Amino acid sequence: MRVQYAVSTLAVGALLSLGAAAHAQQPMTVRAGMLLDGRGGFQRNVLVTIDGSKIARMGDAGAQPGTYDFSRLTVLPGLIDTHVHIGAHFGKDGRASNAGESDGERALFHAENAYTVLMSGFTTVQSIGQPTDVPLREAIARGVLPGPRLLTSVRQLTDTKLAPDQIRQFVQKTVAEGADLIKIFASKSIREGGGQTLTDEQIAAACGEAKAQGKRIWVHAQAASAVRASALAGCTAVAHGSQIGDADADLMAKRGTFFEPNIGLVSQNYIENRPRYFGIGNYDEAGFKFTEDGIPLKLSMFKMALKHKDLKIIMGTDSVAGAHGQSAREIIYRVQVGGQAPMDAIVAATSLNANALALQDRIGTLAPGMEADLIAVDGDPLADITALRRVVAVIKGGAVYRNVAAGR
Amino acid sequence: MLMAGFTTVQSIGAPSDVPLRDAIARGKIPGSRLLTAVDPIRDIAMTLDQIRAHVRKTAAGGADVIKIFASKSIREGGGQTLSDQQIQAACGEARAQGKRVWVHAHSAPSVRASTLAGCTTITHGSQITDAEAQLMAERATFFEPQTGLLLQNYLENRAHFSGGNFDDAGFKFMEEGIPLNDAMFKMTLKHKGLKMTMGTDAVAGAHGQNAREIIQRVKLGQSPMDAIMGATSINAEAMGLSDRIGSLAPGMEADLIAVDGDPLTDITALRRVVLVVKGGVVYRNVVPGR
Repeated sequence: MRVQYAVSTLAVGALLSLGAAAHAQQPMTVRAGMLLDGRGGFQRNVLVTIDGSKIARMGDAGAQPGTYDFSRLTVLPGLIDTHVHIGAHFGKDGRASNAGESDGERALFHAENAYTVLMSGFTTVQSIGQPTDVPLREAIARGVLPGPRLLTSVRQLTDTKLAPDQIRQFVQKTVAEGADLIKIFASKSIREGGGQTLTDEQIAAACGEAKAQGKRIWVHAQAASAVRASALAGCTAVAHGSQIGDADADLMAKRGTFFEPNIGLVSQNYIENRPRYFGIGNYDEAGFKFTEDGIPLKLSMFKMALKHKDLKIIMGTDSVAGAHGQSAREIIYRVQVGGQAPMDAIVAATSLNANALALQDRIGTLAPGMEADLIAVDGDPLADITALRRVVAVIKGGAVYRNVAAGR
Repeated sequence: MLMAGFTTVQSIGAPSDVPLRDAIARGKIPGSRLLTAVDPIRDIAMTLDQIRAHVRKTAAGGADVIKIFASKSIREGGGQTLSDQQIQAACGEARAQGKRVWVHAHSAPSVRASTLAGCTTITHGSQITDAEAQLMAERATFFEPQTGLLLQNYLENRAHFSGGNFDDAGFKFMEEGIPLNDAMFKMTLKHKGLKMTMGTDAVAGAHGQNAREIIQRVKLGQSPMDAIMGATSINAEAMGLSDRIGSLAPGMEADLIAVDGDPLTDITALRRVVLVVKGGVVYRNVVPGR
């Protein structure tokens, strides 16, 4: 009975596929010259079999070229960035203020960002987060608009005057709006010194309610006290942490708090695009001075954090307008300037990030049963981490989105 | 549509096409080169001066082409709506502005009037006869019939369209329109001097299936090479872009596709697009059969 049922289902499937992509049912294979599995392992000459959206098998390639022959390339899991602002863009006037834009124009800038990010080898990003992320997430998920898998916080809690009950309501409302996670600001911007803003009680209310709702929570925290309060409140991840010391790194390691420093792209991008930001809000002389001074401070903080072997350092960039598609710069900076081992930096951007997104069963690792999210880069990133910026192929959910000759 | 191998399309047209066109042109969003009519003329109550003013306003607003409706929809019988003078006003003013005009015209009189008015292209033409085909050929008017995708897509997606003139009567007109369009197309093939462009009128549900129109034309008797030229060099000429796109030659934009098979012997190869390069950038490159 069971067998009969399976056979008749197959027959219907075959009929439905006539005239469409009749071949989409057949598995395809990717031959990797070198393969990094995202968990710290690597092998040479691997054949990855992809059936539908998922990896079916992995094994020695022998002399088979595969459907896609990447035998001169390194294949690794699609990269993950835990912190982008996917909607942030320079508008028609070239400025970050986006004056005079229609909703349609804005939506197209967002689509541009999504495409740019996917083509750079990032197959999943978490956006911190605005309401327009929701239709963008759904459009990408429909499979027609090319973009990374998108998670979003929809909005961010910045109001320091909210009572704990109001904070809980904010969390509930944001979850109801379709948020994949909650984002709160527990400290000031680095351009304003970074001091703690929310009280410990407010932080505890937000993180407690998020947990009760089954959602993860990302905390913007520069000051050491804000980081400590967030780690103690059981928040999922702390972003930035520019002013932390050994004790705070230790505390996050002990509490299992994910730590997301941003040292290689966000500040550099602001400075590279200074005229496009200058004069908007806190992007003034004093703000840019904080940003410039922050770069060496964040670097020494990162070197300190690296000594804490149990600390789960994840890879998020805080990409804003001008930075989309350059997320790999954060990884490269961590290795070349920060002194992180290339394999550790890659594991952070793949399996560890998947853990922080609670998607470790689906993405971040190359293994049978996982989504076929994989990229091919020109070179060996273990020997030359800049290979991550030479993305030759991008496959997401088994669909080939990019496949160019190396060097193009 | 880009992934389906169409590297240039002309949209008939909505104001929201303009930011889309510009976003694609910035090169950061994948899409076909886009030309748009922005805001078609449908209002038969407009005076001649109002029509000319609308043409100037649409051109100033960034339109690449002017679109006018000179007849009713096929779902309403397709009879002429704009007067001959109104058609002349639109096509004359567009020419003065250096713009092309696309005329929606089903009935024979509306096609004749548009041709005599020097409009660039007649689209649909479902009710024309030998005489109109001959006239268009003589006047070098581009003719853009639709035989293979538009009505089929409406019928395939009937539930998604119902409402407005997409009622039982409208769908009846469309069902009956398919064999009429086929017969009209076969008749026009006999007019060797007629410049037949390849346009689908693709609406919701049809995007990315544009090649079905070419395939149907070949089934109806057009030679594969003629059908392919209709969709490349002749279309480029109709868009005023023949010095940039529509043929592969040194100096032309590197807009090219690779298909799996020989479309001269099996035209359905056009639906097996494995490679899309637009302006020298590779947008699609998959293994045949994927």
